[in-house]
Amino acid sequence: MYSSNRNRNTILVLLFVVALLLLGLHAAGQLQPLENFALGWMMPLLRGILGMGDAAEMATGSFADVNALREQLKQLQGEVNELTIMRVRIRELENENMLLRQQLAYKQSNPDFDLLGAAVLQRNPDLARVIGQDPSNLARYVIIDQGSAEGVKNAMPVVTPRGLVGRVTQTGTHWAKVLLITDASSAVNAVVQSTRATGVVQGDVNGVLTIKYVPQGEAIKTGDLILTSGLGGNFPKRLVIGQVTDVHKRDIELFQEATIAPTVDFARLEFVLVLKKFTPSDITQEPTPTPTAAPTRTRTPTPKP
Amino acid sequence: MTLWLLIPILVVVVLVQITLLPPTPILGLRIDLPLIVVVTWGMFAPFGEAAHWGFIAGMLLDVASGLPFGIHTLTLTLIGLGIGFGQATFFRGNLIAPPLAMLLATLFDHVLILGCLSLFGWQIAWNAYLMRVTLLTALLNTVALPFAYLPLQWLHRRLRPQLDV
Repeated sequence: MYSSNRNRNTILVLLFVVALLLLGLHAAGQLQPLENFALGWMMPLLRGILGMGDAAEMATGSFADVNALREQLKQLQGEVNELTIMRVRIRELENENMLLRQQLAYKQSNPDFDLLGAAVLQRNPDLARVIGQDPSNLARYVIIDQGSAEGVKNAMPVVTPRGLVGRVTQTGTHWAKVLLITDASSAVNAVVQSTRATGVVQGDVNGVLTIKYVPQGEAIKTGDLILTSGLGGNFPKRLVIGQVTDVHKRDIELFQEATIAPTVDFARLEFVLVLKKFTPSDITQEPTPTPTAAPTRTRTPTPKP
Repeated sequence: MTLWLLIPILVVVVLVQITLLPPTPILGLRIDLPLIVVVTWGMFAPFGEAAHWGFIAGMLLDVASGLPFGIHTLTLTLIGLGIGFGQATFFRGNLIAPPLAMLLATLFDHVLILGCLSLFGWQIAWNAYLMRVTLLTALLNTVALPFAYLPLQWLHRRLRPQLDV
């Protein structure tokens, strides 16, 4: 009896020591091979469970009208997504147009300069499927089924056509863990589309996005779109983050804040894109497009016959 | 032997937690299924067995989690151990004890995880986490407890009829 108790206690102490050892080894960065092997082993199981979940979902929604409604909803949602993206693109094109006009005016006023226009955003996206989420309510990560073998590396931005999702924090051979922008430890340099006011978008414990550190003098209002600024080079510029839903402005504070509704539906993430290559560039370094300062219209004189 | 027979159950529970379990509609938080299972099993099983369950479930959770590896293993092992202490005396025939244990276990789980993260240099908004995540998760887990308690009690009776009171 005594011996049996002693064995049991030894095992329990051993389990505790192993758990502490795992934490220590993780801190020393020595656990990557084990994590890679373990998650690699779990991948088929995760896919299997997801497949079963999909099958169950299909079975429960087998009524024809429910399916038809679902299809219609999907179609309409798709159209809304397209329109949202189109609206953002139009605004961006307008801004770009204004900037290019300013640059053209600059070039015409400095004919000695040899200027070359260049595209700064180079995307090389790979479609990755979200196969899991962080088990705890204390963190917001997702696991995707693309890893180092597909060229995914740490710190790469992850997006959907609707906007920014997060960035890769850990990679295995065929998997990667993505820290969502809604996590409390996430911070993204951002800009208000209409005014180019800068700030930092942070998540919080409940997954609510807030743009912080916007100077008091800057105008920010409900409905404004928030984009990545590209400052710091971690994310490309002009990725959509969300739309302002509520502005918190107090005269006694140096900065104002605003709550943002993300354009990405984080509860229904299925497929994401990993941006494997982009040219870091800072939107805040561009001249602010001011509609009042209309660019000079120049026209090339038509040669008379 | 029972431990090895029940490992597949833990694997399924962890996989469901990672892949299928949706957040609750109003609170936006998910119940912690592996924690509920470890705590519930600790109420029936002989001392130490829940710690084994916690160790295995924790390892599986750590594989999928973005948090430092070993953090769930440590917390769930300790919780399994703690629950095991009260197994024979505290839980039998006591209606208040299981929900109370679930509340305390969730609090302990989150406080230990956040404490470890602090040691790793993470900036933790303690108040926000405790008030807006931990307490609500503890309530959710407690509400969900009977749904795990009854099937696991049935399983325990099937596996160990000699230990049942």
